[in-house]
Amino acid sequence: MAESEAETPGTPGEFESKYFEFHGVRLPPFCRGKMEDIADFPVRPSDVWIVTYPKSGTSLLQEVVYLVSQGADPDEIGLMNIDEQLPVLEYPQPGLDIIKELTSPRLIKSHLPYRFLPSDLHNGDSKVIYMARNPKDLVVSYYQFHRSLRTMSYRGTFQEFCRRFMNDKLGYGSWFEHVQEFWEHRMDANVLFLKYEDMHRDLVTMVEQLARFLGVSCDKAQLESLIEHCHQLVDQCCNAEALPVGRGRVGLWKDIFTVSMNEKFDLVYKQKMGKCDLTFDFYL
Amino acid sequence: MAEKSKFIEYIDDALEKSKETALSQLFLTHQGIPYPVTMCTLETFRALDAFEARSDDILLASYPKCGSNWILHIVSELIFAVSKKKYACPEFPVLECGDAEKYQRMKRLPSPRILTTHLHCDKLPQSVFKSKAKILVMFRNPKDTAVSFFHFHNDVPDIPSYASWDEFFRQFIKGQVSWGSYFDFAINWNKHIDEENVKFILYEDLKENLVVGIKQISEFLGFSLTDAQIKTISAQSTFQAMRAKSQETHGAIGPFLFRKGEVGDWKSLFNETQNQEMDERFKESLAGISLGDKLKYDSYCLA
Repeated sequence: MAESEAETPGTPGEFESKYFEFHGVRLPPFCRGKMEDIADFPVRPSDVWIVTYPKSGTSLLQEVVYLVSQGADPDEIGLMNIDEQLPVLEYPQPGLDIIKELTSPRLIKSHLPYRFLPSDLHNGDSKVIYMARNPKDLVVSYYQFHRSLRTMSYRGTFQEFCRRFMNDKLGYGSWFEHVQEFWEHRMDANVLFLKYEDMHRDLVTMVEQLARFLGVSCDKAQLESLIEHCHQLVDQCCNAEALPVGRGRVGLWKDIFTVSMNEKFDLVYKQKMGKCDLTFDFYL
Repeated sequence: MAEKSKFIEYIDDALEKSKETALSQLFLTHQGIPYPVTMCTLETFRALDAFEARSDDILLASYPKCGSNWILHIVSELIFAVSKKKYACPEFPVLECGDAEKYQRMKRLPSPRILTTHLHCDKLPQSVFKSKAKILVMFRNPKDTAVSFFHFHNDVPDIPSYASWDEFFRQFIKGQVSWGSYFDFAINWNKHIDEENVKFILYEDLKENLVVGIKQISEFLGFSLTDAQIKTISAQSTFQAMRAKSQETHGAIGPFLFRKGEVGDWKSLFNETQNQEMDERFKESLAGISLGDKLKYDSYCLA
């Protein structure tokens, strides 16, 4: 988190100049000069990858995945520890060299679009869990995140930020492309496509999907215990004091989006997602 | 950093308290409804009860920011066209505003007198209804009304200002704004919708077709005017025409009274949650009654 703070620019102008483009996609500054190394990153069959567009529920998902794969008691897991243990591929820390040396099984996160991930992943060499979140809640959360950074934060209005989002001018490029590209791979044997809203709406099914996908076998009692722990985790995360009230709530956007903004957003959404059969719950 | 944040909290707290104090002290409450102290007094409300309306009075009733100055201008022009005498009212036209002695002075005014009011009909003196004075009631969709009212409060210096749109919305939906609840105003006046001396006008209809609207008002008031006269008055009664000379006609606050507003402005301020809340409030208050249909909520307020 500290790295993001240090790297994220302040004024909209600075905000603009810090990003760089790689094959037409706007990426954070710390990605500069290492995209080839990322493409060549060696993948192991025992790896589990968690890929999301930023603010799509990454933190919550990693905890659930960790629980499902380890069967651990949630009290034994601290929020801080998880973030430290599970690296983000493209972040400056711990960096590619250290991630390469981690012991198996590795749980690695990334926000990169499908096409920029390691080639071995494209070949189906290890499991990839992708989570998508409805874009209205996502953009609100992304904005709040940028505003909350201590040292350098985004100074523009939400309206301006939202316009950037709709025009594909934020870090990691277009959310619309990011999510559709993975949707096209949802039937790949090594890909599991999930939605953030289902964690709140139908956690049981999601846990079962994850267990099956990760090859975790457990009897009915163990599964029930696991689901109970995951429920606690979901409640815990959405009510954590560290987060603004309701940060993870589905339907968050309704308190922020004006009617006018929502109309514009719906037009753009229809334009960019019209041919895709992926749908989202915008409230529960 | 901890020291600084404590300091900031202290300052923010003090500012918040002063805002609350200022806002609450700028209202007086009469029969449960808040009014701005700079415009209304309890003495005037008491004196108003004894006001004697005449049968040829014309009363223009509207909730604040629903076109009262517009309709006043139109009716003044109609009277001028009929009587050839410029209508000049030496009193502040809003019936419930001003000093308590104004009603005595108004007794000496020639007929017809044009009166305006923002009062709910059950707060008006009995004589208004007994006299069978002609009453024009102007309505506007509640979302644009709220937005216009918010801007008015924040632009005009001597009436309460709100810290944010969100704060204003909370007060508006509770009816804790000047002249009380929009919904209560509408429900009250709806009782008179079928009376022959009462005519309801929709702001949005007038905006859409001013000539037709003015013709209807003219007929209601019993005036015989030619189409040419109606068209002339219409040209002088557009928003642009009125704003252009608002300083001259309404003094220092003139331009604030004629803030440019378009039907549908509300979409830029209302968030989706507020939008939903307003829709629910409309439904529980006004849907299914005559006025509710007349307001054409579906056309103007559903996104």
